[in-house]
Amino acid sequence: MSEIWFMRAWPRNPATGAEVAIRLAGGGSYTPYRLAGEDYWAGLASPPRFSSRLGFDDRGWTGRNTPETSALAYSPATAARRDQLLPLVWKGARVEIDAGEEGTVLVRELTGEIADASWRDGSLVLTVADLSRRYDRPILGAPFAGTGGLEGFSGAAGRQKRRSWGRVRNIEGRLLDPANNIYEFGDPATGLRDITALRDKGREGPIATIAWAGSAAATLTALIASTPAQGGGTIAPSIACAKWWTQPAGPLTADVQGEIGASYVATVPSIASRLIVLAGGSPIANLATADGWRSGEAGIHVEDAGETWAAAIDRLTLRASLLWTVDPAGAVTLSQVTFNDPVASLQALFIEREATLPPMSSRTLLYRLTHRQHGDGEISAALLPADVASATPSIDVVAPLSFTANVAGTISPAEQLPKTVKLTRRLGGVDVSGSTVFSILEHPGITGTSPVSIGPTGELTIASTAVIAATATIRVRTQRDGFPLDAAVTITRTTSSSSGGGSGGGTSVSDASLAGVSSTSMSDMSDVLTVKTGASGQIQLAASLTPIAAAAAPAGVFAVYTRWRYRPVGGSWTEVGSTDVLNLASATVEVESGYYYTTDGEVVNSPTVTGLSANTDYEVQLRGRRGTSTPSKTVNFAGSAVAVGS
Amino acid sequence: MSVDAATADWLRSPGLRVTASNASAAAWGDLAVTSEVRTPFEAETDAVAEGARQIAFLGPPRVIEALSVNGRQGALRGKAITITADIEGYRTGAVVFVIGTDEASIPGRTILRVIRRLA
Repeated sequence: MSEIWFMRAWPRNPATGAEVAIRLAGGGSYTPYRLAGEDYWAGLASPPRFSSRLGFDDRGWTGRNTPETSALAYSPATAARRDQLLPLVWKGARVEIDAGEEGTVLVRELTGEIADASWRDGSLVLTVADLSRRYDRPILGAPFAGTGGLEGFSGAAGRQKRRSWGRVRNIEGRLLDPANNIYEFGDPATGLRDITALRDKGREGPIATIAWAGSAAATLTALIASTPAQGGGTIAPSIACAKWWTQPAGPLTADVQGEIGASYVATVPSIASRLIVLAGGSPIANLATADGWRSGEAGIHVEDAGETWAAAIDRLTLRASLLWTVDPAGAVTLSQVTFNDPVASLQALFIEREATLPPMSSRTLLYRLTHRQHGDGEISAALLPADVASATPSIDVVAPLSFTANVAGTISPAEQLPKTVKLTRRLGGVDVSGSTVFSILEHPGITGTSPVSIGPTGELTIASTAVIAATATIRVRTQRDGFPLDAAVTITRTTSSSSGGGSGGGTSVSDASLAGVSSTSMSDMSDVLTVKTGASGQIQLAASLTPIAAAAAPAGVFAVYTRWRYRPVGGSWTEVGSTDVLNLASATVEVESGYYYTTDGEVVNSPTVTGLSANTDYEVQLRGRRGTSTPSKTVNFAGSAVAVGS
Repeated sequence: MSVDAATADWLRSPGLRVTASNASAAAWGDLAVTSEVRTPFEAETDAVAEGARQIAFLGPPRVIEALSVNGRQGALRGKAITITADIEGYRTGAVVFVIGTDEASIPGRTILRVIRRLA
């Protein structure tokens, strides 16, 4: 047996650009040059043999994954056949090569492109390369035309339309429309998933988002029409543009999540696969496995006009110890750069040592890259009035807090604590609490173990350990941009007390220690109170209560119903009214950033029972229930249940 | 929002840094090299893990050598293999990483260009 090889190539007709199928073959001793019903021309002198080389030096990969190449010579048998081939344009032509031993099934040696073609000594010499060659085209397309709108103002003409994939930090905005302060952060045609931060001289500002308006031009129009908050910007990620509220004092930069395409991707293998697809290839064959190897968030930003798809994929993968290779069928796979897990064991003959590489004592890795590196003069040391002339700092007023205590001065019910309220500092009306330093200056009237604390973004908490005087104050300092602003939160503690005596010989009684309710079945809230009617034979019942849900999980809205009942001493109970009475406002618990915020409710249930025997003792009781059983919570009550006979 | 010191330092730099060290290179003094690479990663944990991978590969002294093996072996490019040869360093089998393949120079054989660790 001997080796036989068949090549199909599709050079182009120079006049029309149309592909012309050419079939060449060589080798073998008895097999006709015919394959799949097609005749092949004899004269392909040598079998395809390939060589490839990955760039590597003292300091690691040099970032070039050289495609496989092989030189094939074809010697036409006749001048007529030579003249058939000579006019064709071979460079860049698709090519397929099948080869194998005669009598066996041929295998695909290569699916690739003609990298170069020449005529020498009567032979056509073709250099073929694998399909990684197709990735040698530049990524960036036509630059901004400078004709206005999405093509930018005249000064933008010739500027590259940058592209980003995955997580990319601090890229510089470039002026697209100076009259409207519009800046571009990439190609408006491909857009971005999001712009997560905008900075002027490194100082981040609040942002609002303009959604896709149906077309890129309409989105740009909406962005132009927007009014950014003072000190901030409006973003239109779908066209990779943003509007800053004024002319930036320094470089305007952004953190972005790159192009979406079919779906947003942000791992090294997935981004590499996306680049391969955009360059015309198929997705990475072992993508799921490779994503498991490198699952961390990553990104790549392309701004150089000459950077090719291959160079960008190299830059992305080699720096993550991954290598991409193209197999003969054109499928791309990723492998890990490691000495671990050898895949084969071979006997070899030593030929030569090419180089000795010294040991590496340390390798520094940069991550979270700043694509626009700032100079010292390009960092805002503070928010200066000169920078933001009309932005005025302020603090939202916090409503006075009130707690109910028993006659001993102890907060009752105890579930009123802990209590958290939010302090908000603003700049020009914009909430800037996230970049403000909060501290407690003093808290006269509040004692106990660590009774007061404040969170990083203004969450002021009075602890359950706090002992609160009849009046108290908490003073908080907010520090930002060199401007301290102080706020005072005032607190009062009220004591439940019984009302005065009844009239006409009647008595008065009250209960300020009410039990909480947790189920949807009626339960006793007050004790059984004995009250004597007066000459009118009636009892005025009164329950003006504050339902309280503890500042803890679960959050929710907790409605309660109450109802009074009465009876002659030792007799049978009579319910007051026809239905249970719903609270006027429900106690609520909300959670935000790990802090629980409570809002107390309101219960008013004060009926009058008439037609009773004059000057007679009766027993009364207040009862209550939850409106729903879930989420599970006990609702407690501040205030008193009062009965007055008359 | 004002610029805190950490953010300002980051903005002045090309990126955040982590360093992977190779303690066994200390005895080499100035002969050992140091290097820096810009990774695509966002998180420190991923950069640290990548540093461990890279220093494991680049840390020891290495040589680039050429050997020939039987048959056509172009598919080995970019893979780790074990090579046995009758020469010091290969007699008991050496794990190498293939960075180049040449099927054309010797009929019936493939020349492999490999990276081999000396230690």
